[in-house]
Amino acid sequence: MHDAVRLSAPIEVTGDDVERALFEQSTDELAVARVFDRLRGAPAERAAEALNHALEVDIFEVLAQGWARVPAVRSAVQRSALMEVPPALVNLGRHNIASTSRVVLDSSVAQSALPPLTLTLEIVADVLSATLAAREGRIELVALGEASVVARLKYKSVLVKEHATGVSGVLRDPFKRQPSAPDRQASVDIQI
Amino acid sequence: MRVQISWLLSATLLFGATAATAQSFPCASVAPEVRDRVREAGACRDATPGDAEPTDAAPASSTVTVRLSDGTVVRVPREISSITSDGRKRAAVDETAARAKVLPPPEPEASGDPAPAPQKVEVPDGSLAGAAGTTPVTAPPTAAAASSAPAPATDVAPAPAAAPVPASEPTAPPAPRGRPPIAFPANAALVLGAGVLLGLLFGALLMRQWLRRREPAADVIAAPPPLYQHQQPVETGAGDVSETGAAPEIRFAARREPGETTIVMAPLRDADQVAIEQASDHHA
Repeated sequence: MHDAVRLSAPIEVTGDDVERALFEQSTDELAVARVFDRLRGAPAERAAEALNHALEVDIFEVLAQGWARVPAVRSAVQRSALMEVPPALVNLGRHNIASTSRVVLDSSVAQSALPPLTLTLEIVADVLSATLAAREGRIELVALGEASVVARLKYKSVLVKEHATGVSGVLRDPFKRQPSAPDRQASVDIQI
Repeated sequence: MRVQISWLLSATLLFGATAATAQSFPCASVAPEVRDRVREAGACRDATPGDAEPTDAAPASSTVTVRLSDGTVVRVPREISSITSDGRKRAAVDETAARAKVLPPPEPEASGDPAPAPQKVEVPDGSLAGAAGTTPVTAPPTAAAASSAPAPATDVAPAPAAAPVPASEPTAPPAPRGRPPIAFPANAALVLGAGVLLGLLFGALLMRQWLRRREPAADVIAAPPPLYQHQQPVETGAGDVSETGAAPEIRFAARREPGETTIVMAPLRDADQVAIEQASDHHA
């Protein structure tokens, strides 16, 4: 089931977005300003392609890392890891999960490396409800209520890209889960 | 090789200029207006007794004696007559010299008027022609004092009272002279030209050396500043781009570094915001 959890629309940037970010970077970095004209156009499009590969976010991992910070979930996972007990189900009400990560674009022109373009990716997921199961020290997603995701890509304080989407591929009703679909355990490290 | 040729040329010019300026000429051949200045500059030498009295027959045989209207007797080289045919003044001197050879020596007692003692101005070489040809040469002060109306030597007409040629004056054909009659202007022009050429040559050499020394520094200055050097090697991944041959190669690589994740629970609507229930295989 976890393999089916994904963003309804992936986070993507375009060449114009990259040019905007590079322009903002050129105001700070003289080396980028010198070659900014060379980076525009087709090179920026290719840079956007590279960034889009890095922006392929596994939304389940993002959500699981947030769920693991809930004390009830953490204790259930710890208990399932220590004892062979039946999986514990955890129902979470409405909550917001915010994740912040860095997306770094390394570029080189004529064998000379430019200062890396460091972007900040903020993902905010507004989850109406979630049903989790703790088994063998891991978190399993049983059901997920309505969830909306807003992704913001920033260069420092300058917004480069904002993307709003939803989460698809999850069961809304935990009682209608299909046994044929294999559940995937999230790899969340929890301090025991 | 070029430098060696340039130095050789410079040495040749310098030697030529030195040789040309080493030949001094008598100050008597210089115009009186500039004679003192030329003498002070060392460009001429005063007549010496050795110069006044030729010791060998060749110089003496190449001069003719001219008596001016004021009675001054001047010894003029013979070749003057051959090179001063274009000027009236030079022609007069030439004619005077020619007549001096033909006319018999006058008898001082014939006129009854005691003629003033002929004062000879001996010129050792033919440089007098240049001075005579360029500026009117006035009679020496002593001659001027003796004569009430001194006239320029070139204005001397073929007077019937031309000075007789002494018997002792030889009339042999003049020997060839290597130096042109107009010596001073030629030497000055030569020296000036040699100096200018040497100056230009040395200037060119100095400029060449300066440019050679400047080339490496100019290359360093003209080199574009290096781009930002990253400490870590650049990852080459899916973003590698190979531009066309003219455009520089531009490569991109992107990665995502995990950060923090926080969760904020909404305000509790009831006590069971987080409900944990123990599943059991039996219940399943």
